[in-house]
Amino acid sequence: MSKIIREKNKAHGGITAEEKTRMDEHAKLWITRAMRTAPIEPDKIISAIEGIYAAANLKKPRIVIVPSPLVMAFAYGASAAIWYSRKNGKSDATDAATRDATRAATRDATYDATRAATHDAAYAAAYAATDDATYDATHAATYDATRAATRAAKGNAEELAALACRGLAGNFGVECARRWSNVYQGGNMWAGYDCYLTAYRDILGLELREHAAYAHWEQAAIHGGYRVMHEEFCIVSDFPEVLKVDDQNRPHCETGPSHRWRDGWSLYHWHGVKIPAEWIENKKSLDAKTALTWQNIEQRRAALEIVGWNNVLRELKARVIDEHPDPACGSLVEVQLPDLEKPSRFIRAQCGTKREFAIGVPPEIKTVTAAQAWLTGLPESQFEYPSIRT
Amino acid sequence: MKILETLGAQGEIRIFRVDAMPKGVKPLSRENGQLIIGHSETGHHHILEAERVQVFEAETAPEGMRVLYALLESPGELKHLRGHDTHAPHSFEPGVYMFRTDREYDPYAELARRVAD
Repeated sequence: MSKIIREKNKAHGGITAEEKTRMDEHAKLWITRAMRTAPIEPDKIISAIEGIYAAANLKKPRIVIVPSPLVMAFAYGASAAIWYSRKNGKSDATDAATRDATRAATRDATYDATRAATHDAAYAAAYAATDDATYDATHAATYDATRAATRAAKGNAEELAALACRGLAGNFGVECARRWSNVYQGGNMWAGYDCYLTAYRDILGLELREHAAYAHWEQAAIHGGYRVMHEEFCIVSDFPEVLKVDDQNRPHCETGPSHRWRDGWSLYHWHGVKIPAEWIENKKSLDAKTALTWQNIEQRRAALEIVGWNNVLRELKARVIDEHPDPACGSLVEVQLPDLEKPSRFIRAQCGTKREFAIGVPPEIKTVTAAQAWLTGLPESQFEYPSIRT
Repeated sequence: MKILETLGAQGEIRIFRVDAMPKGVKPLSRENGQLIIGHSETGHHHILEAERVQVFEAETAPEGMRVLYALLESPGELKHLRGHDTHAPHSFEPGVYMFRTDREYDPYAELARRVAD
């Protein structure tokens, strides 16, 4: 191990055991911040965002706090479209108005093993523990909502938000809303990166000129959720009031939404997999046939777990046609699906992560090996079971 | 082209070592700088990383399937981009490899399609 160096502008040589212990605690602190459900405090987030704009030599923006990332995205779209049209008299761009001046504040002063070790100890821990529950889920849901904005209104929250946006700024507003992710910053949902940056300062002792500007960014990561930055305005989302996870910090709730913001916008997850709300809110809507034939295989697996494999097999009068002793190879099951004259066949097997899946195979398949060969698109004569499954 | 060894599986991606690059393949373009071996609707792609690698797609494949070949001139790794329930990476020595993404049968549509996750 190389010599450990700690200077105000340099941190080399890996980390000590004592530093590692402190980094573990540091990661816990940022995980707590990422999982925050207490309401946003306007004075703290407004001060932080004004500081970011000032650090970037931008004029003070109008700052608007909204209840959820969904509202943020569509409010951004309408606002950006209106501002652009006012200034340009046309509507063909939604360029980002500002750049973060602080994000890479410590990069130039850090190197090799120290960076790697700090990354592993702090960033990776906080990232792994929070991103499924916070960033991934929220980003995907907001992205889906704005992508779907051009569909016909169905009366759900996403469609109503799109309708409101269109009412304020027309289709240009909706198109701008679809680009919200070009100008967003993650706030507390990017906690992993801020955990990493602050570990250099708070644990390894770096004192950099850039830390003064970064302090505003850090405060915004503590006191706000997603935000979109525009030269005229900044829209920042409140924290969710409900955020439920399983023992691996994956978003999950068996009895309600995994996430719910204060305007009621809700997301539903089953051990990290986003699922339709009705699967939880109206469990009777999810029957065995729907579960077994749902197109997305991850959601299908979740559906089968929600309904319960035994219930599925009983309801569809299942019988086992062939069974391999290795659960990774699985069993060939025949079921009678509604509206079909002939029975259908499925492979029920574990993947490398020990989760159980059901995969359809043609009805003429008679053995597990023939089914596995068909899944792979190989003749049975050329097929071998993989020795390593991950 | 002959299969030399069935190496393993990473989720729905099956991995084989083969003796040569077959005919009837076209180069696979990178997407956002990545060589995506298995696409995911939710962005949890399976990607191949190596310093020197070319990936090709078979112009014909069984119904519902996508078959890719990689010519690795340096060691490489197949990674799964997901933060939870992650399929562990597979490492490869230089050589020619085949990746087959599993398909499944839809009993209502009566057709084969790629397994989607």
